[in-house]
Amino acid sequence: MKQKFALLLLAVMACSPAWGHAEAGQVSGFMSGFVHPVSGMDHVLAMVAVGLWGAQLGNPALWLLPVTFPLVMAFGGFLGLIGVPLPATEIGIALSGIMLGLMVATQARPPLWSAIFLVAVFAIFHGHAHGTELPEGASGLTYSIGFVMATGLLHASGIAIGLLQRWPQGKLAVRGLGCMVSLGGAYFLFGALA
Amino acid sequence: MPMHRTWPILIAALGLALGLFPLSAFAHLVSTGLGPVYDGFGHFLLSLEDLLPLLALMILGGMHGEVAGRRAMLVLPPVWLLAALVTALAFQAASLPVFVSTLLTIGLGILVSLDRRMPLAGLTVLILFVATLSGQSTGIALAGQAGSVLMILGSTAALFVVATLVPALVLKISSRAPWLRIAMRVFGSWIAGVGLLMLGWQLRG
Amino acid sequence: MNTRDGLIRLCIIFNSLFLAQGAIAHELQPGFLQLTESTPHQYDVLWKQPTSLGQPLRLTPVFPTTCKASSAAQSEVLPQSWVWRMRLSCADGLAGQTLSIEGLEAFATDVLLRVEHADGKIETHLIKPVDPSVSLNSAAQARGRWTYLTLGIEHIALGIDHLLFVLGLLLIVGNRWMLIKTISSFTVAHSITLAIATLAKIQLPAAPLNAVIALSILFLAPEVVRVWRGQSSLTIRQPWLVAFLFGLLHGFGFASGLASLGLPHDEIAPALLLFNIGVELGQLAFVVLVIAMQAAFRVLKINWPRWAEMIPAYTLGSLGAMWTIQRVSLLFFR
Repeated sequence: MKQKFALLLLAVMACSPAWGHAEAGQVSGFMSGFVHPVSGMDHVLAMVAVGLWGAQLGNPALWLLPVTFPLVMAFGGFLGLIGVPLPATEIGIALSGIMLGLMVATQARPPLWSAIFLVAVFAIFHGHAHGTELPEGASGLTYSIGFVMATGLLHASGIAIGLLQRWPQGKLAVRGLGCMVSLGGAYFLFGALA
Repeated sequence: MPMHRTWPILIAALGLALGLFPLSAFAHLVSTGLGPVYDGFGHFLLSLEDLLPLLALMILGGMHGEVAGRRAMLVLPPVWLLAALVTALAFQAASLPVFVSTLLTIGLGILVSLDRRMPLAGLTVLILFVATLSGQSTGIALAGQAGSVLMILGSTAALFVVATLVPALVLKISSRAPWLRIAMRVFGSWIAGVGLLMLGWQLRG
Repeated sequence: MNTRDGLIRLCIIFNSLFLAQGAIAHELQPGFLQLTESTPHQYDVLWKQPTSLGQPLRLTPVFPTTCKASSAAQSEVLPQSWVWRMRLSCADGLAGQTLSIEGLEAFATDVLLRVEHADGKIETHLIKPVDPSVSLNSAAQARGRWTYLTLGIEHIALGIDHLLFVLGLLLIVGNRWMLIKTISSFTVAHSITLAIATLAKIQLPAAPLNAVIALSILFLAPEVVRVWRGQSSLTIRQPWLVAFLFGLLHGFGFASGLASLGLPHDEIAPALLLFNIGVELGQLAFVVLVIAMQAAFRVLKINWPRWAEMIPAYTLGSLGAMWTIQRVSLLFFR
C-alpha cells in the first residue's frame, strides 16, 4: 500500500517536469520555485528539523505540523510579496535553526499549541525571506507550486528520517541530528550578525 | 473486478492524464493540432489557475464520502458547461478579477486541510458556486476564439473525466488508512499555500 | 443487467462530442512536402496538397528567398490530394534556411516535410498549425522519425470510428483476462494488415473499406444490448474472435493514413513501426481511460437511470448505422 502511495506521489511529481515544457517562463518559474527552498542550507536545516520534531512528538503533532506549516509559510511568503516588512529575517531564520535543533536534541515536549506556535512563527520568517527574494519575471503560479512542493518534500524527508525513532539507537541518531541542526543554526546566526 | 484492484487503475489514469501535459503544452490557448475539441480538452488541463480550485473541490467531495463524491461528479460538469457557454456566447465582454480563482483556491484548499464534515446541502451550494465562477472564467478566456463552443465542450469532457476520477480516487484513498486521509489534508494545505503565494503575486502587480 | 457497469455509458456522451469534428477531421489527410537535392543546390519538389471534399486546402509552401523556380510547376489531381512537381534552385542550399507553410494555422492538419540532402542525409519534420515554419539543418535529423509516432497518435485520436469499436469491445468483455485477450487480438490483427498493406503497397479502395468499418461498429451495438439482457452469443463468449476479424479491416484503415503520405521505399519500415506504436499508444490510453472511468463509477456507486444506461449502445448503434448508410451511399452516388 505504501508503494501505491509512492506511485501517486510519483504521478504528482511527474507533472512537474511536464509543466516545465509549457514555455520558457514557466519552466524557469517552476524550477526556481522548487530550487529556492532547497538552495539555502539555513532553510533546509530548519525544515528538516520540523519534520524530525514532528516524528518525535508523534500524533497529533506529526500530522498537524505538515498540514499547518506550508500554509503558514505561504502566508509569510504572501507578506513578503506584498511588501510588509519583517525585521531581522536573517536572524530569525538562523534562530529557528538553533531553536528547532535544540528541541529535537533535547526531545522537548512542550504543550501542543506552543509547539505549533513556535513552528508557525519561524515558518513566517522563512516564507517571508522567500517572498522577498523572489526573482522578477518568473511565472507566479509555477513558482508557487514548485516552492510549496519543495517545502512539503523537505518536510516529508524530515519525517522519514524521524522514522528511525522506532529503534533506540535511531532515537539517539535523531537527537544527534538535532544537535547538528542547532550548530548549523548557530553558524548562520554568526554569519547574520557578523 | 474486485474492489481492491480498482485504484491502481485510477492512479494509472491520473498518471496518464498528467503525462499528457507535455504533449499539448503550449501555455494558454493550447493547440494540439487535433481540432477545437481536443484543444479545449488540453486547455482545461493546462489552465492550472482554474484547475486548482476545482481540484480542491473534487478532493473535498471525495473526502465527504460517496454521496458527496457523486454530487461533485454529476453537478459540477453540467453547471460549469452552462456557465461557460452562457458567458462565451452572451457576455463576451465580461471580465472577472484575476484574484477570484485565487481566493477560491485558498478557501477550498483550507477547507480540504481542515477536514471538517459539511452538510451535503452546503457542499452542493459550494459546488454550484465554484462551478459557476470557474465556468465563467473559462468562458471569458475562450470567448471570441474560433470554435469556442467546441472548445468548451472539449473542456467539459476533460472536467467530467477529472471530476469522476479525482473524487473516486480520494474516496478510495482516504477510507483506506488514517494517514492517507492526512496526506489528502496535507495536499489541501499545499493547494491553499499555492493560492496564498499567487495572491501575493497578484497584489504585488 | 447491472453486471456491466452502467456508468461507462456516460463516457460515450463526451465521446460523441468529438464526433462533430472527428467526422470531418478523419477525412483530412496530412500534407506531404518532399525536397530531394538531386544535384547540389538543385531540388526536386513534390508537394501533395491535401483536399477536403474535392477542394484543395489553401496551403502554400513558402521557400527561402534565395530559391528560384527553375521549371514550371506541373500538377496532377488525385482522389485525396493534388500533387505538384517542380524544380527549385537555391543559391546557398537549404541547410540552415527556414521553410514555412502558409495558411496552415487555419486547418486542423499537419504537413510532413522530408528533405533529402545531396550528401545523403535525410531529415523529417512534422509541421503543425501551432508553428507553421521550420528551420532546416542538415545536421539535426536524429529525432525526425519520431514524427511518425506523433502521426500515429493523431491518427487514432481523430479516428473516432476506431475508438468507438474499441469502446464496444470494452462494453462486451466480461472479465479482465478476456479484456486483455480481446484488446491484444485487435492489436495483433490490425498490426498485421497495417504491415501487409504498407509493405506490399496493397490499398483497399477507401470507400468500401470505410463502409465495412462503420458496419463493424453497427454490428457491436446489438451485442452490447444482449450483454445487458443477460443473453449470450458467440461474440459475447469469444469477443476476441470478433476483435481479431474486424481488427484486420481496421488495419487497412490505419494503413490509408500512412500510405497517403507516399513515402520513399527505404523509409517505410521504420515509419510503419513508429506509426503503429503511435496508434497502439493512443489506443492504450483510450482503454485505460475507459476502464478507469468504469472503476471510478463503481467506487462512487452510481445508479444510472435506465435511459443513461442505454446511451452507449444506442450511440454505437445509431452512429454505426448512420456511417454505414452514409458510406455505402457514397459507393453508389459519386
